[in-house]
Amino acid sequence: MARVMIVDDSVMMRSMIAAILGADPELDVVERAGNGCEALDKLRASDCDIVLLDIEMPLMGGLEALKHLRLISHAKVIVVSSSAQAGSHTALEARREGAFAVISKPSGTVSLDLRDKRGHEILEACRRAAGLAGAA
Amino acid sequence: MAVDIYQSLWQEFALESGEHLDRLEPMLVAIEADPPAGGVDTSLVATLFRGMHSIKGMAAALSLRGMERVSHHAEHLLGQVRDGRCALDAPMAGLLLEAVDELKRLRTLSVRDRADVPASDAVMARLETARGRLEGLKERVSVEPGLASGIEAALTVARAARPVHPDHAALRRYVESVRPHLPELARMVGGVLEDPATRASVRRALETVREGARALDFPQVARTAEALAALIPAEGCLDYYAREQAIDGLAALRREMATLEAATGIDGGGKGLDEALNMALALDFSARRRALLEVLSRHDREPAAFGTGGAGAIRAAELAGDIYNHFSFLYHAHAGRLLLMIEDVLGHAARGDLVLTPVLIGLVRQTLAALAPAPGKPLRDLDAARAAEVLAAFEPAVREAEALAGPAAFGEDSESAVAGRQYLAELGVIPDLLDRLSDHQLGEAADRVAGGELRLWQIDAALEDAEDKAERFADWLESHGRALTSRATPGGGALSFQFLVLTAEDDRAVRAAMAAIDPEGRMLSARRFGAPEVAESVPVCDPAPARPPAALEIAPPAASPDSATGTVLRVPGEVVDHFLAVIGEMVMVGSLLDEAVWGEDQRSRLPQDLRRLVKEMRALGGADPGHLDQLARIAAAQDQRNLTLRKARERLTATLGRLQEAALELRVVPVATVFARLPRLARDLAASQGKQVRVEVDGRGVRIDKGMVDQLLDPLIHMVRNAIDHGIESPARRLAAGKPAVASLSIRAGQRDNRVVIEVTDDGRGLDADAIRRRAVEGGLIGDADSRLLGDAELFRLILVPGFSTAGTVTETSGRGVGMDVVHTSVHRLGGSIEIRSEAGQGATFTLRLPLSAAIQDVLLVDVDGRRHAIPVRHLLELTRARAGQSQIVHGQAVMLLHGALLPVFRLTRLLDGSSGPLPEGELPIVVLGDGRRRLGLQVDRVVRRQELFVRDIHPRVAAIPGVGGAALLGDGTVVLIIDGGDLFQLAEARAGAVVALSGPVPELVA
Repeated sequence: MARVMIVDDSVMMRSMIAAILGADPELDVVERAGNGCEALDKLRASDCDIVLLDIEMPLMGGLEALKHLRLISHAKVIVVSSSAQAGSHTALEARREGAFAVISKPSGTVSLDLRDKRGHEILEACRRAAGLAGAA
Repeated sequence: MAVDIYQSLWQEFALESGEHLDRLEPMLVAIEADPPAGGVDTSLVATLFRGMHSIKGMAAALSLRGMERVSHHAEHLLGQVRDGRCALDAPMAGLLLEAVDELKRLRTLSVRDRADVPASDAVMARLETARGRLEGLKERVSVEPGLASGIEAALTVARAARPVHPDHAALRRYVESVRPHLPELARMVGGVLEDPATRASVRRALETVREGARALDFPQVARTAEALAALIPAEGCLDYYAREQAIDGLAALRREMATLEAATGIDGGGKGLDEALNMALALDFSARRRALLEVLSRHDREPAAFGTGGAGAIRAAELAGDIYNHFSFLYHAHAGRLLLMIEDVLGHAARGDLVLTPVLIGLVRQTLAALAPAPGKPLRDLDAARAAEVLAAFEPAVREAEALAGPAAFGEDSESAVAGRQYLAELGVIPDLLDRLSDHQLGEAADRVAGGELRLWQIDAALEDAEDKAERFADWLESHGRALTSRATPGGGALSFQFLVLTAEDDRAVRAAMAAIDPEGRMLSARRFGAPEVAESVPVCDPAPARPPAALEIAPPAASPDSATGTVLRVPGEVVDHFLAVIGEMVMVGSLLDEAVWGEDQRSRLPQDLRRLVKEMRALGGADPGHLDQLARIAAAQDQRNLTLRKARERLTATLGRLQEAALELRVVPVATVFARLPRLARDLAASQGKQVRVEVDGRGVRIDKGMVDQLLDPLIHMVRNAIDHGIESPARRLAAGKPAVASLSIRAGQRDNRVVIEVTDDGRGLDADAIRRRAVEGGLIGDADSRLLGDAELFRLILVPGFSTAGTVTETSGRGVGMDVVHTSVHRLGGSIEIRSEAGQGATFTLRLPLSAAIQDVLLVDVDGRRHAIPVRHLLELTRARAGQSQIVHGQAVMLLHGALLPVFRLTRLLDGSSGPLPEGELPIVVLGDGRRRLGLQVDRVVRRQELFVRDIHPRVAAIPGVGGAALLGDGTVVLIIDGGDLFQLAEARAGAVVALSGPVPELVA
């Protein structure tokens, strides 16, 4: 079971992403953080296998957190951000700083239907990062 | 389950979006009123941007397109501000405020109906116009080309937030210590590891890296070094797999070191390592590049493998990612960026976000070709211009490929696409170019061109042999317009293209730009679709929604969520209230326990009684000694039990106290949340009266009980209104009086002991003591002779008396008064007091002193006529009993002599309901209250106990009943009315004024 941390400044987004991951018994959301600083503090206390990281956050944003994070944690980082479309500067920058994958935020997930593309993508990326077989 | 999540997502959305909007508004109001001369502080801009960004993300998540559209545009504008492309001036702040207002409206409706609500066309039009105009603006002066992205700007802010390591000196020492060692590590993959001396030096290098990392507490750096060391064989070279792992490990280590190098600004040997690896890995790179090209070649044969979930696309993306991961440590920034672009494009193709067009495949191939190293040479990075060129070519191709994959974010329907195509064709756009546009592009381009917001150009560019011109043209396109699509010019050379460009620039600007790039006019030719235009000047923002020109200033809220690092839990207020009620009950049970333990009841006397009994029985003789011993043991055991009980009780008291304190903490919020609404109010008011005021609010981190928020807001609004209505003069008068035209109004909070002190200060004309005195005399509040005995401070207090404001029409010269009795009442309800200081012509200061928590009141519980009442102990002087002969009737009012002074005595219930009648006979308890000037006695049937009660909000009608200050829930669920001591004095005076006034000064007594 992979230990997952969700880092996003929106409580609602954290809940939503956690609900998406909750569908997979092999992913365990053990920590949540509202900004980069908090994420780093929590990782120091107990390391995670996967960190889902937002880019735009107060105090310390995702890109900055990424740099700090890899000094202390073995976690694979999946950037989940609405400012990271295909080929965008942010997406490339995140990968350059060592992000395992960059995906867009879930949108229109009112139904929380996991066949929803973004939700599926998040699950897929987490499973790849955890070295698990692809999701059904 | 899904339903619960759905429910809570909406709740969280309502809460969070509301918080963001409440935070954005005052900031924008302040900026609009008084834009800082040197530009708005970057961290404030970053906060505004993030707030808007969050709202957009949340709205998108719930498919609230209306809110998403508005916040998207507002965010974009703020992004431009953040990147230094435009100023956050008053019109811009006004426009953003309009967006905030619209978002508030949409939010309310959306939350109510749980459905999308379309955004107002007018607001959208203004936002889009501003956006379109900005996109056309040339000014990028304050931004260096490399910093064009907002990310860097954000990072600069973020970087200041936290250093990589707290001990900078130690960090520098570490980076310096690894500098000579790092290049050594290239030997791990350079094939000379068989030499024992080399192996030893590599091991040493890794050890240096690891030990230092451990000391600095960088566990992952230490782990990386450790893993690398574990790969080194006892003898010989690394085998193939170990070598692959070593490359990955070195990549990770190089990246980690890069962070430390950047943090310290010291070379840690990273460059040396790069140089060594550039040579060692050239062959590895070539092999991987070939493998990727191989996979891509399958695209021609089986395009399906490159569609959604296609194995070819997935494999190709993986390979590109692998290449990047393997060689990222070489820090070939430009080549790396291109590799990531390839990975990103292929990855999105595999996820079905875009369709891998032949154009894109061609670009990928071209890029890989450009990256190939010359045989036998080290890897070298691409030059910046070439990389930028390739990246620029990707941009339109990716957008096109995305459009092919499906509707864009704001899903235009196909109807608008058909209409759009028709419109653009009528303008004269050739079908060949139209064919290349997506439905979304067709609809959008038609809308924006038809709306006059953007202009559509066809630009033919023959860019062969003119690399610098090509680059400048690409630059212009990127910064001033948007290439919708392009195609190779039929019959032109290999590098001749036709671009379809959307721009906000006017004709003159576009032609000037083209002429600047290509003075001879041989390479570029441009034509605009549509009617010729008149030259115009372009303001940044629509000036239409003019805002009142009030000058305001506001400090950002001291305790914004940004500064709170701890985890925040959201708990409904009722849960906390209930929690506190239960704690109250526990405190009460605790006091019952007290009685059991300490009280002189039979149980506590039991051991003594038993021992005495045993003693007497022994003296009498005849009893069985065994039985007597048993009794003595029972007495001892009982002693022991009482002792344990007492200890437990002491600990329980202490623990309950801590629990209560902790629970009260749950109810506090920053006082700044109350202040936040005042600057906008002041701004609107001042503007409506043609006055200018600079408002300064400072919560100084003071926190108050949540229950006080609403009760405090009212008096503060009254005081602000009062200050602007009556205190602050018009700019002309101020100037005449030698004061600055812009008045200043400050609202500050502070904490002294267990009280909150709030000061509302203005520098207006101040209070006119004489005018107040005359007004009070005219209103019959005080006799003329008496009024002349009062000092200024006492006169000022008269404006707080209810009769004062209704005494007549308040004129400009009458000083203060409107609604100030409301202030007094509210503050008094909160258990607070007001002090007024003023100097004629110089301004006035209202000082409120309030308890930190109005929610908990220390009360005395009494029973009267079968009902329980709570009397706040702050008015309590003492408890006594009326004995026969002590009570008599004076002027029809029952009085008794207490400490040598007359004390009027009332039956509590009669005072409250206004009924009259003689006091019931008998020796009943009298509760003596005092307010500092007067005393009165309340006859009750029984004094129950003293207790802390949690006060609940009550219906305003109930609160309006004279004598009632609130209600509280007892632990057993019964409701008890809390008496308002101040009201009681007024009631008593109304009933028997003379006698109460005679009650005289309060003796020095403590309850």
